[in-house]
Amino acid sequence: MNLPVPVALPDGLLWGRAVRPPQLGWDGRRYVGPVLIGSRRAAVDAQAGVVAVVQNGQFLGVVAMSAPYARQAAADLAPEWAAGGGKHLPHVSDVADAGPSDYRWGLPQTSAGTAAQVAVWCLQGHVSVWMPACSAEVLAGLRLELSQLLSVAPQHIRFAELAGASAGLGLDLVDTVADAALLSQAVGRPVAMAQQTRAAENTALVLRALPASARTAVAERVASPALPTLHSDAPWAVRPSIARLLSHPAAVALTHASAVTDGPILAGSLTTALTGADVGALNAAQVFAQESLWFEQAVAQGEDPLAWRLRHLPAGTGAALARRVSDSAAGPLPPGADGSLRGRGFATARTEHTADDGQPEIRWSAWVAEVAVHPSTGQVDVLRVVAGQDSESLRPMQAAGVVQEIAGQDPLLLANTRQLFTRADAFDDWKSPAGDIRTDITTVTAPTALAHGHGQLRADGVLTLPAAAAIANAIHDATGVRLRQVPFDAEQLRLQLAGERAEKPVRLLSRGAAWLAIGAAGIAGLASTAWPAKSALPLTSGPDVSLYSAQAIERGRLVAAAGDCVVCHTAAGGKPNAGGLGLQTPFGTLYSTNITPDLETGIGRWSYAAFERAMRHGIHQDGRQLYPAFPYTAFAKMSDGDIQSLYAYLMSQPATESKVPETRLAFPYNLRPAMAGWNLLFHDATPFRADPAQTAEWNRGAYLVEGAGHCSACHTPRNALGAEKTDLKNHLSGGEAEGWTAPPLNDLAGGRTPWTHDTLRQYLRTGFSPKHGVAAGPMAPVVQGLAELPESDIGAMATYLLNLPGRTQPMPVAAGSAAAAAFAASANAPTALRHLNGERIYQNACAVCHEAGSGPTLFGIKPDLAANTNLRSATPDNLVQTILHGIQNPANGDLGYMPGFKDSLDDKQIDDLVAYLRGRFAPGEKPWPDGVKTIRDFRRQRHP
Amino acid sequence: MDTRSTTPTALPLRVNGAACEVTVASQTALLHVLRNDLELNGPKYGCGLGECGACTVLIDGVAARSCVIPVSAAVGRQVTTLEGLGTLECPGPTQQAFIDCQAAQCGYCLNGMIMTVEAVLRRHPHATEQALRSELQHNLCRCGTHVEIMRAALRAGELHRARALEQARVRA
Repeated sequence: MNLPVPVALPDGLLWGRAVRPPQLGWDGRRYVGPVLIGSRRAAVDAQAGVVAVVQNGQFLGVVAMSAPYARQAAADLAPEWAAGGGKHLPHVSDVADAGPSDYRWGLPQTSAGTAAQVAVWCLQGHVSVWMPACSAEVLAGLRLELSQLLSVAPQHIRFAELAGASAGLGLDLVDTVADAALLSQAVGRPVAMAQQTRAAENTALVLRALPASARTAVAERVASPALPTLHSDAPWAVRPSIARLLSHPAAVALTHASAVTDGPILAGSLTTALTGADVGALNAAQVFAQESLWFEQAVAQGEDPLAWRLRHLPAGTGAALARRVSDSAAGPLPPGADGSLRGRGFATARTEHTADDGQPEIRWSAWVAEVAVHPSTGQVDVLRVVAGQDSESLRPMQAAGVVQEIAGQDPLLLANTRQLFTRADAFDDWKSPAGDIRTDITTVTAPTALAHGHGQLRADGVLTLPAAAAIANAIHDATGVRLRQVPFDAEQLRLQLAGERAEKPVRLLSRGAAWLAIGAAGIAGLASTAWPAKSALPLTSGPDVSLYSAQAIERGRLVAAAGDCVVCHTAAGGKPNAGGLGLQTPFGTLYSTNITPDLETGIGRWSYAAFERAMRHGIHQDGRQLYPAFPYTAFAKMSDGDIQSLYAYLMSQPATESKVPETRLAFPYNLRPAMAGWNLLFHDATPFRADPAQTAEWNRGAYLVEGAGHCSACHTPRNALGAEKTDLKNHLSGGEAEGWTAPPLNDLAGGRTPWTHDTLRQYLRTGFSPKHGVAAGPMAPVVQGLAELPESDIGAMATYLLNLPGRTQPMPVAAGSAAAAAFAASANAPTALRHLNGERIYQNACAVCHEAGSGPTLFGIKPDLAANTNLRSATPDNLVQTILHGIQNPANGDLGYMPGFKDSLDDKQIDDLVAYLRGRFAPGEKPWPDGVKTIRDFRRQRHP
Repeated sequence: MDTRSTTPTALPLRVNGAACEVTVASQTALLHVLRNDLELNGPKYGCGLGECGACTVLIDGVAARSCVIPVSAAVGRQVTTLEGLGTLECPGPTQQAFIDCQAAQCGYCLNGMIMTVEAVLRRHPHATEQALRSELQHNLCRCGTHVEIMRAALRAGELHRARALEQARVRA
């Protein structure tokens, strides 16, 4: 019996999250990865908001009332894994130096914007799935997969489309639905899941050509020594869903790659690395490797590659098609007039399909590509493509009625070839959730007219399979350089052509020793003599914003989000970026300016030159020196492209007329020209330079942290003149902002609770880490801004921050029991009374939301104070601020809110509470001194 | 969303399954909006600091102390108040259990007790007495009705399970 599935999601939807083993292993027949030997299952089961912890074989997951609860519970499960039964031979992809004959097929990575949501309700043999629209192929595969996973008849599985959700990669979607289905089956209730982004470890399918010596060892499986023989970690049978692999260790794949290779692809004993590769990628990788190998063999034997390949094609439809395509493209290659190198390459592919009526069908396609390579830039122009496809049905009666199609210069084909090119990630590439906003560098130049009666081509992937190999062969033909990695990297090609080595590494943070702070009066004196006032730059009528492309404005929006412009440039309750927020500094109160394009009160009449001067040198359009509360010291590191995009973005925003209060500091700080001297001492306006010795990810992280992100503005201590101490020891070693302590960032991987890449990424993404606490105070809006950036940027920042050069000796860690004893011993009479009072306040005011292991499950997270960084900090500042003012504007609405207690607890009560919290939750730390005065001061401060 | 703004803004809400819109400062406590603007007086104002539980509502099925949560937090989520659990003619299972056990003295804490029990049972239909006690630990009752309230909480569990069985039977 089939039940209609309503499109609306069911009531009482729960949220699931799966916990994966550290590695996934599959030998093509069974799961061989790590085995689950234990977890904090019982503790997590009793945790706030958790409905159930589900374990099924090696599959571990949680079901909870909401997504944040599920996330927190999953993080707290702390599973332990033991090595599985599989032989852990090195993966092809693990071998450090990629062998000269490895063919890599880059897999598309899931980007932040495409994380889909699904829901599954599995009850009494019926399964309802709510998911984003996807292709019929994925849907059919999913039905089979779920049927196997849940032991449910395929016809009892119903699908409903979730409006508004965008589908990610096919296999990722299947994995997510399978996870949710397994969890729903365990609890009998509807479970929703957000697509979890996989760690980017398997970014490419790797196939290795076996050398002749190795081929003799497997001779019985190799039909002819002439045939290309490949070896691969990656499965050629597409893998089962991860949920099925983990819960049914002997799971087999339900679908197989359909490309048919001439020679065998060996795997055998090697543990298979799981990838997100779908059938299309698998087919493409195999065809790319095989056809490249044919070409290389021919070159090695001194044969003409095209003739060699045609000679080795089995006679029949495929060979006939290949000849027709190559004949169509025949003729002498025109020499490159512009110094470019010309070449031509051929490739062919064969696939086996099951037709709609269930009969097997063979399809052929063949390609000739002509390219021009510019040696100075590595740029490749695809000049001409001739492609053909033919199909051969195995049914005899239709054997005569084959379809023959040959196309040249089809826009679809050219568009397809573009996807094969990329360039190395630059540190200032921005990826928008709305799509990649990098601009193409590879141009497909004007086509040479050629058409061979091409009709409507089917874009089913078969036709385009040989594209990569045909182009790689053409590049080889033109230059003698063999590219074995798709997408092709123009930079790599350029370097190989030029025979260059990477430049000598340039250390990024060698900004020199800290300058000695000298007296402020001295600075003022210098300023009056040595530095004349800067000139005003002329006012303009403002740029014509219609000239900016949508891409430039979007890039600028992301730059602005990373730089958190809106946080400082918006007054409480005011219009965004209209200025007027007062910033309290040790030198007086500064007011942020209006950076909307209003002509009179904003920056509407600033030229780009004036804007750039302000960003890089801290000089107002009218020539005034700006105070470094505006972090131009960091913004100077930004690339030209980013500052230009930021200007485009700001200038295309709505203008708000808003006159902000004038900043008036006391003497000598009111002497703005003195800032010129300050700049000479403390400001380095050199833009960021990538360190070639580091990875692209590290450089991207460094660029974000040191540039637009201006992390050091709060997290680096300042000297007596308000300048960041830039030496290695002090850089990002902790600072102060708006009455809050900004903790050190240069020892994140050390200390009592070391940060990991995962916890740091989670903290920056969600504003919360169960092991460290919640982002509050001035950090909350920072996380709100970072929410605009893709996952990859957050990961890059985490990578850089965890690898900062800085403090290396670990912090002393007090033993837990000794610390507890010290806490007990310290209970002399006055301390005991303070703790007693503090405990009473804690039980009444705090325990309802913060007591681990008891109390109600309430909206928001249940932050464990024992894990909170602020309780271990040297001063109670952040704790006091949070108690006084609460958290009214959390980094993320899912985290929940905290009321401020400034109107219900007096200074003494808060001091007692703070002493109690320190003693109970950070027993290893020295008690804080009496804080009544600090509390009184904080209470007086205006709170944003 | 920036909750600092004091300017009234139009905010779309979903309360007890129905869509509505209120124009208030986004930092206004959800409790005040429910009681004053939407005239849902089930949730009560007790301590104003989230300590007593009288103001409890459900947000996306999870108990929430509406006196310390700004209304902006409810945008894009489902809010359920006491009124959303049932009607006079047809009370919800938890409401019915509290009627059956006559678990009220002055009744001020009753909203919080019922909503907290409802939240627990939606999560764990088989919640034990110990679990219910732990969850109700921070809902304050000043009249000493705790014995009847616990009896009602256990009865509510029975009624919830009976209803779930009935629904599964209909679905199959």
